[in-house]
Amino acid sequence: MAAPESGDGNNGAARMVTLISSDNTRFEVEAAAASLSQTLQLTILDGGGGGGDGIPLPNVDSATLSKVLEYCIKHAPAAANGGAPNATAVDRAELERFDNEFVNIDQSVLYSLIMAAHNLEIEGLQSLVAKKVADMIKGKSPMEIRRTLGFPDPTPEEQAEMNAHMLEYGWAYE
Amino acid sequence: MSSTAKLSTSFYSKSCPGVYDAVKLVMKSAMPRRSAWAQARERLARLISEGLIKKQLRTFTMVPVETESKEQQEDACFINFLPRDLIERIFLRLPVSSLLSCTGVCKCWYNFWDPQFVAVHLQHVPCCTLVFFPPEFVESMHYPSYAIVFDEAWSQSTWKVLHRPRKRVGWESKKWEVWKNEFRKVEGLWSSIYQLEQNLLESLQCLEASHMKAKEILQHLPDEVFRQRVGMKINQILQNLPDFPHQGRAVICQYWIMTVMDNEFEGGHATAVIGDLWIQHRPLLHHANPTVERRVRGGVGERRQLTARESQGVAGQRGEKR
Repeated sequence: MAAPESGDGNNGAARMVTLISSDNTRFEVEAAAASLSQTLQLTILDGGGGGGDGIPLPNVDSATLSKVLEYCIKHAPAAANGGAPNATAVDRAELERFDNEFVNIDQSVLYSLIMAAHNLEIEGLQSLVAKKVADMIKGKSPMEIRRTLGFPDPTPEEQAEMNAHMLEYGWAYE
Repeated sequence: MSSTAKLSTSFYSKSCPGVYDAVKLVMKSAMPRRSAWAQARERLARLISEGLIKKQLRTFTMVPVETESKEQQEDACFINFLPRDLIERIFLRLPVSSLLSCTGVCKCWYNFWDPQFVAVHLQHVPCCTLVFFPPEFVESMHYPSYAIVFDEAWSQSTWKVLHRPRKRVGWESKKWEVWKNEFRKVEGLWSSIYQLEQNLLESLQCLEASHMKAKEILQHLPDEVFRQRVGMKINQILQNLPDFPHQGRAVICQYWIMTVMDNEFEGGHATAVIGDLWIQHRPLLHHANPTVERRVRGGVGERRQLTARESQGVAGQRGEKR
């Protein structure tokens, strides 16, 4: 799947690479998009991943990989422009909207996405998910954080500790 | 096994509150707190002597299992499955006030903060955030038990205090009091420096505005040599002006450190604190703008070197202790 729309045609036909997820699903993407990953970039520069033999990614399952590639394909043109100094405000707003939508996901997906971004070393995606989690935490009390992040209900003992914490640090949450 | 233990605890909470409390205390003593442990033992002994529990004693053999599973439960949040540097990445995006509230979330998070993290966090947050560590804790294992953090740049109203351990008794509370007084002094200074900063920035703007005027006047000066000298002087001043307010702040921060060193604190305590502040702030200065560095070097070089040397001394001490 994930046959991307043809690029902006800077090199004629864009070079394609094949990525193989942990459950043996093959993904074909533009080399430019895959190169957002520092890990893949070297392999691609060496000429790997083309033709029949794909690049195996044993750490990433197909659901996560398709999500990651969605991000890469969206962000590849902007990255190709070198941080997009000449990008219009509309483009940037569009990317931002995409990003916001993109991380609006279930926590288990978010977790695998963080791990994938880490393994593939995709800088933009890493900060995007980190920002997302940070936003989930920001400005909340310990109890709210626990609830948001899906901690189990506190044991009575934990509850007591948290109450003690609130006594001590309550002023920080006003 | 763990579920049995859990069941039995909940059972005792209904049937025999005394035992339940004792269990809770034992569980609490899984944390390294001698007093809690002693308390629990005392209580247990009392309960046993009162004949309240005999065969239920078996419960307590299950307690470690219960504690362990509890800790696993605590880990159940997906963040805790991440490698440490990824967690750090998330926490680095949080302001100090949120970090504070994170310390209350679970034990892993409570134990997360260490000096390295604080140092890295400082470089990620807005350029004027500061941290003080009282030297006695710099030298002890508790470092950084007490830290005073300015959450937002330069507004003394937003200072936050981080401190462990939670319960302060005896000499420790006295020390804390002393430190708080010390800090109040610093806070007073802080507001005055804030005032100074405002004034200076205003005057800087005035100076810039008068630059053109000065050049005009220059042309009317009769003496060639004198004109050149005045012209150079004006250029020199203007070169060293910070371009943005926050750079001005960095400069003033240095000035403040030096003033404080000169006037306010004679004893080793505060000097070390200020030295630490210096260390924490320096990398940010390099970031800010080379002009700032230049200005500082040109302006008050002698004093600055002294400060730097002393702060290096403090850094050295810290390194040894670690």
